[in-house]
Amino acid sequence: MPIRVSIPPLFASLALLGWLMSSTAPPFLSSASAADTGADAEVSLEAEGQAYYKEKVFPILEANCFKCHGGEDKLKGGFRVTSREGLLRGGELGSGYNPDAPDESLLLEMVSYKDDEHQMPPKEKLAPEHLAVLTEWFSRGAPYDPALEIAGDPAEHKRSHISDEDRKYWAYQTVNETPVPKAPDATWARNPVDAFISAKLADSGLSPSPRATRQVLVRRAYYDLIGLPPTPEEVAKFVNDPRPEEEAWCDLIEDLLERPQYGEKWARHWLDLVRYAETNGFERDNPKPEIWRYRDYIINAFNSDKPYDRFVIEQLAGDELDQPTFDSLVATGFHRLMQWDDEPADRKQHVYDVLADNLQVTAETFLGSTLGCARCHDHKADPFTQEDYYSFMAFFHGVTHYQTEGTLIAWATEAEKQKFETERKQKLADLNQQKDKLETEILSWLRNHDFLKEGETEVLTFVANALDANPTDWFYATERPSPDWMSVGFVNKSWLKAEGGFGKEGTPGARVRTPWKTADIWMRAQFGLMELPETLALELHHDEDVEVYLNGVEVYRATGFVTQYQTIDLGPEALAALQTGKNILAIHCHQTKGGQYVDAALRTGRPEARSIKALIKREGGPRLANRINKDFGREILRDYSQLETEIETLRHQRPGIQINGVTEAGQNPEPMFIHIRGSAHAEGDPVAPAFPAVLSGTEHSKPAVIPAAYQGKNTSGRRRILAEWIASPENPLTARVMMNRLWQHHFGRGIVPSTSDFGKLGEAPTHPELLNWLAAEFIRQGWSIKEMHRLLMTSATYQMSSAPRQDALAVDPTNNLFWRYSMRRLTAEEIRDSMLALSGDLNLRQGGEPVFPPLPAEVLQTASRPDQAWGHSSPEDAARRSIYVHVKRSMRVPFLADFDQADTDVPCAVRFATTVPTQSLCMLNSEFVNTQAATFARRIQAEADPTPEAQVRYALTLTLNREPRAEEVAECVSLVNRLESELGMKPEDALERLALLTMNLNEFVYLD
Amino acid sequence: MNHPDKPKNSFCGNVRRREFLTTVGGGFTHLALAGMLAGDGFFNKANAAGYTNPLAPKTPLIPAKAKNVIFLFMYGGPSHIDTFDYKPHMYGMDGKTIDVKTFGRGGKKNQGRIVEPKWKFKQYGQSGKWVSDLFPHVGSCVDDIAFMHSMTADSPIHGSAMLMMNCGSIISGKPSLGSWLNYGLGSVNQNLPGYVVMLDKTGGPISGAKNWTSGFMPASYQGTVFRSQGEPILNLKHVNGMAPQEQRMLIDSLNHLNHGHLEERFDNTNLEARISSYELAYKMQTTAPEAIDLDSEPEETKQLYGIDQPKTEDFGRKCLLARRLVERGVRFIQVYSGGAHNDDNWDAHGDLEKNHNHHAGGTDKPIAGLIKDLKRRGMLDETLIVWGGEFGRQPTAEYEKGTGRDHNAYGFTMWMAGGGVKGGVSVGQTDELGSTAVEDRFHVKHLHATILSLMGLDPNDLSFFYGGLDHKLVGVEGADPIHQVIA
Repeated sequence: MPIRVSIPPLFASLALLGWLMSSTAPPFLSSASAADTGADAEVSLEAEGQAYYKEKVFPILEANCFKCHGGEDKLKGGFRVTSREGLLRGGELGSGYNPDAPDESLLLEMVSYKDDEHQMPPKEKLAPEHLAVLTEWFSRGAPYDPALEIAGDPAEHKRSHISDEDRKYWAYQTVNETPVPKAPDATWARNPVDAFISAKLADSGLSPSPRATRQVLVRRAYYDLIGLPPTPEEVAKFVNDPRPEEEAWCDLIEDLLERPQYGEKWARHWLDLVRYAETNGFERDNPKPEIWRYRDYIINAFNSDKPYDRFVIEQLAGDELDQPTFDSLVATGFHRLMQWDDEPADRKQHVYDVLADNLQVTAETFLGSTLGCARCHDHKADPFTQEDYYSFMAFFHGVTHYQTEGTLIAWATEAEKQKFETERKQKLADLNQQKDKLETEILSWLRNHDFLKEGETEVLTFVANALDANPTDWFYATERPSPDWMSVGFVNKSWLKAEGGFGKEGTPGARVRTPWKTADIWMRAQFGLMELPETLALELHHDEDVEVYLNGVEVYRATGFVTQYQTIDLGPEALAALQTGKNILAIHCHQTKGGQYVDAALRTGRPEARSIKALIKREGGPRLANRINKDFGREILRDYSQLETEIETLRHQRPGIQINGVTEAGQNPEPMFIHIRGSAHAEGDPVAPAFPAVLSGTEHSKPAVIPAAYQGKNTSGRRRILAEWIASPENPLTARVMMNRLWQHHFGRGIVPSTSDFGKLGEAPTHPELLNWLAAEFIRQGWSIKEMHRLLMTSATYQMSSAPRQDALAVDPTNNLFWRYSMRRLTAEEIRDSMLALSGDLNLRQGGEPVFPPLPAEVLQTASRPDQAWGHSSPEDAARRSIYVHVKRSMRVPFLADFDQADTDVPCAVRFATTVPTQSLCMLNSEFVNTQAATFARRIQAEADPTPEAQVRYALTLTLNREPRAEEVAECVSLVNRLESELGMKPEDALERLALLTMNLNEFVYLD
Repeated sequence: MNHPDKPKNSFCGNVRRREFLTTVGGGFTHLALAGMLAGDGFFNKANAAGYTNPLAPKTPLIPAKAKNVIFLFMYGGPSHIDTFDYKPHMYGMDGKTIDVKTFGRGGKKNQGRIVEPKWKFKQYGQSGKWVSDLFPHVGSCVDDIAFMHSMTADSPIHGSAMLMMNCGSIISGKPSLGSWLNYGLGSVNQNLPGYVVMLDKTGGPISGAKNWTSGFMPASYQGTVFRSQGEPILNLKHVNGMAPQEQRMLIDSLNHLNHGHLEERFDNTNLEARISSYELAYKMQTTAPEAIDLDSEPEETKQLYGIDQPKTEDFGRKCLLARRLVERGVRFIQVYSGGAHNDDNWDAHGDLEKNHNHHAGGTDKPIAGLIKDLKRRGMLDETLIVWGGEFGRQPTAEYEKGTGRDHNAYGFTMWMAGGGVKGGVSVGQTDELGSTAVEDRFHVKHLHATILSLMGLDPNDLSFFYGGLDHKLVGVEGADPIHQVIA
């Protein structure tokens, strides 16, 4: 039961004003209504009112309300009760006082605990006598004693509009041509990036650091572009390349950009932003089938250098394009990555929690904007109003609500779909025939051997439900039929026919086979009887009120809803209603709100006799099964259950390739309202899709005009217009934000360090002109990301050494000015992948279903169902790159989590890089690391000369990607010797320890 | 520091936790909010500004009454009216159908069949507190306990309610209470994790690791699952075994090489920190097994916790272990009673008596043992014990037959003991049936505020900046501690 509150802010005051201007005498005078009638009686009435407030009302308000509503520094809900002006103006829910009907004032509804949404004070309901005082006070017109009023400040008012002043902020300026400064040292600068950087360095009296060595550069380029270390041959190729440095460097970059591993490295940055995960989270943490295609889409997009504007449009609205492609549909998986509660405490609110989550990710990812903060109130720092927020949300309002598995779209032509259905039907018929034959044989054996007593055999199913392999077809209507709809003789000619399990996905315990979304459904199933059964059981799931008729006789009725199928033994009355021949089971279900579902089965016998399998289990289990098989001379029971499985599998098969993406359900989404204080149950003014005012040159959100051509048969076109608005060169944020991210991942931090927040609460850009120039260049180069890698990496700035310099450290210890390259620790994925690369086990197969590297039993044990917590992959698959590891919200791979892999529930623009002892424990002791070390040791043994020195040298060369120094080799050889001589270890074991040592080196996990 | 555009009440306006950290850690103040995170040593980019151990001990910002928390989590939701919330009028009403609003797994209902409390209540202690026969041992401790009978939560469904109780929100992704405490206070013992979770032997609670996640905070603040037997922490022992002297040799060589690497990168304190993290890891390998080794505990102590009896052995061991971890400075310890699904935890939908007899029977003596042991050692004053589940249970039956009760987030009981909490008090009330809180209603966030406050952190100040917002455990609107229970 939603409350719609849409009182204009000054409604109450205006009403009051209207009343003041009328000729009737006012019932009271208050401080706020500064009119003076001069009549004595009224003066005394005023004094009386003030006294009443002072003596009766004030103590109650002071004790119970002032703390949060204006008496102290808090002002919850924007509502001030300490002054008459505050009471009348009201808070986010509207005016506290209704002059037309004081009894129905919001404040009185609140204090009288009208319903769940109206309960103040929250701690405890006021005493009845206090309630009486407040009611009386309101009936007197809610007078205040001016001496006791505490006035508010004007800042309490909502932001009325967006001004030009708001628009002056740097991030909202259109990207424009920026003059490239003159580089102080023209011989150093290689491209405009360097001019910007070195000019600013010169301003601080600093010079850029020297170029890094080729050994350092090759390792840097490999990790930055493909996230993997170079082999010794690859290092040598670049280091010894006789061509001019620049030429060799460009070739190296081209080589790496062309490798498929490039996309795997850069997709991970993107997946952090969109909090990519392959399950829903919460209690059951169900999988999101096929969602891995989205991951592959991102990888392929980077590899194919998909223009960024196209990349944006496909993810937001790939289904609304003129010609959706396989890729563009997969891209819309963007909207399905969020956490989702299949059993929320408040369904309606959760629908909007999901939209809010997606809005936040959209705004932060593409626009570097925390628009998401304006859900409950206007943004507190940036010029975004609640109107902006909900108008933006309206763009997404047509997207069908998330269901347990998301929305699976079949990628197949109509002809393919039809062919598939025809074939399936035929196959099903064949299989069912075979199954029926076996069933008859087995049942007759059971009967002959006295395992089936009279009356419980045949576990006859008259009407099958959605959980059965072959659900019964129902005839159904959603418009009220004539009153005899439940009788056997009723003709359901105009009714539709579909399989049972009617309702909405996500309803607890539901197995929806046919969507039902209206308030009522009437349904009829027909079944024939040759002879009458002796027992009858109804299996029923209903959400909500239900009435069940058997041949027109009411046999069951219930209100409310259940969350699973329930078995109801029907009594003699129901049995008496049965007849040989045609019978009708008829059901009416009525729905008010939340989930909805109805389905039923009608069978004979007790539930445990429902299947042959259950019967055999009850009557003797494997021994009985053996006996049956023996008598038949074959594995008849196995064949039977195989048939069952095949039938079930076939039923679930869908034509073509499945895509987990989004669709809309029509051209006109439901109306969208502002949600007061973020509550879906407190709808304010209606809003239409509109762009934030500060980015539109308007005072209020600018309505989007959706071309008719964008509307499909079943889609609103709203997301497409939004996507095009975002992916436009005119949008001041889009190019800047993405360019800043590219910079971030090459230089260790963004030019705007808070890369997803370009607002006032974020960090200011250290080089705004450079960012502007880069953004313009990005657009000029057709939004080509690879072109930008080339630009950034061929700059002298990128190729600087990371070594410390005392002079520069003194001026700029945090490298704000980019006087050197910033060292970075490798990411969780880079460390894991590098270890696999060292051991030689790394499997570079690309794409496809996620893999499950083995997890320690201790970790599995943290799940509520340890045996179902994780999957299994072959050792080859388990050794694939980390980006292909299954992402399960409630269970993260400890190695990756330890090294600061992004959390899966919230977007991550900048990863942490912590250093804690649990990481060292993992690096020294864990099964994964030690397995890699052992394999690495075997590789060293096989590939290096069999002397300790040669082996050490080889191990260090591989881990550090450079020639080791003599003292390093000496230290390692000495360790190997001591392990052998002092601890008596065998050489191969000592070598394993050496391998472990090299993988633990700081230099291995840090990049210069 | 103050910026006219910064919201009032953001931490920029006052000295808040993070600002404090920055001052201590890096001391650079020229950047805005996110820059301060760099000062906390979380990000790569600020290596020149100096590494700060995220778990370094920090001084409480307000006077602290407690130093450690032991949260005894009764997963599944114990029935308050069968344990600590005495409803004398309900006896004799069994089976009677009444009008009462309930909201549980089975949805919202307006009517139900009363299941009267299935255990008798007795008065205990000086305070004369009524406690049911499920908890005779805890009954003997009531003068040290403050009961909160008017708790409410936002959800009566396990998944979201667990997140609410642990992380303050029904939406996933927020850091858990233990993370906030470690973020705010650090850890005094670097050889053990600062935040430890002990799970039930039947398995983890639903949503697993989400219940001890650090959410958008660094992983350093997440809970560490600690086992009471065998290897307490993951990776504590080498997978194939490695002798200490062998490991010592390895680490020595590693140190040597890492120091060589550091020479040319002398300004990078993260590298130094990584070198010391190996020494810490090395020590942890002896500290942690020692912590779980109960051999040194006298028999009398083991009996006090019920370790000598099969029924109470498991939970008793965990409670004793909790005490030992407190002695070793672990900041926040959560012990789960109940795991997995259905009757493996307190979720008594079916046979209430069987379920609660089992779970209370396994925990009553250990819990009382913990309170008494802490008290006689003089540790109770500074150790806060919190008891409760994610919600309570309804006064009416869930099904047509039987005694099963559905979930109830409208009103339930939690209690606290020690750590600056008044003993022998009860605050708040539910109605005559225990169906809903009616007097002094408290929300989970008030409980969180109380815990933070007792630990020396102002719940309305302790914040973490993420995604454009200063997040707080108690939510943006803030919440006050429950003053009535604070000594």
